[in-house]
Amino acid sequence: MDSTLAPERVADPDVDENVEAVLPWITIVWNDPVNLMSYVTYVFQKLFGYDRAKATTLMLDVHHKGKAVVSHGSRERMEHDVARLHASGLWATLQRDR
Amino acid sequence: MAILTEVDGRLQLDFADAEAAVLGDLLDRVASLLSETDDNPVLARLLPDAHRDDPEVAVAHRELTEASLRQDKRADIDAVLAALPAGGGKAELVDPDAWLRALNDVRLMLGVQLGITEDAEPPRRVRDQRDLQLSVYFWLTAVQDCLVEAVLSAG
Repeated sequence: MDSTLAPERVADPDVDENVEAVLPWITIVWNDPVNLMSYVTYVFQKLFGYDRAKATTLMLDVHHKGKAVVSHGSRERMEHDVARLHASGLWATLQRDR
Repeated sequence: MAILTEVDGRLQLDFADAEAAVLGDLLDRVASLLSETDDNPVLARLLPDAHRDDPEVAVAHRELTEASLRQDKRADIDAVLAALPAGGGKAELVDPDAWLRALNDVRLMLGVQLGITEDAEPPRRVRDQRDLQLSVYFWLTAVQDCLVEAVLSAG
């Protein structure tokens, strides 16, 4: 019997790398007691190009639910978004979307 | 303090003598904190961790962005300080977003130092240094709120 017919075990690290490559990252903005609702809405419009309605919805989620996902994409892209949000004084973090 | 909108949409802030002095002093305090490297609660808020529970991601992000974040915040403060009329008067808002960011950083600093919470209210009477700082915080809150509206209307 030819042993090469036996299924080959795929190394786990390869699987992990593939999963990592397809899993997007997200940027989250957290509620804080200082940032104004008007300012947070303005920053979302300015930084992400969201219209007034979408920016307001996200701001209200931050205010009432404590946080909102404001963007998603590659890790590099989220690093960039978090840096811009920090420059505007918003409390933002990035994480893997799972 | 008044916010003036020119016909062409340009914005000006008209400062009373004491208002310009108070804001200038607060901006100096933020700039001074931004030049420090020790851990302190205000810096932790101005330059927050980029991940809640993964130090590796947070450290990587800090190495990537913290130096330029400090520089950008410092540049906003310097732009406002340069336009702030000593002794009061009108300041032209060449870059209104820089003013909004700098005002917000001042409010973030005061918010940490005063322990501001969601239900904080302006003091009814100013009896001590904390009441005075709280009054300044809520004055800047009103200024920033009006400025956001002015920027949206002008744009």
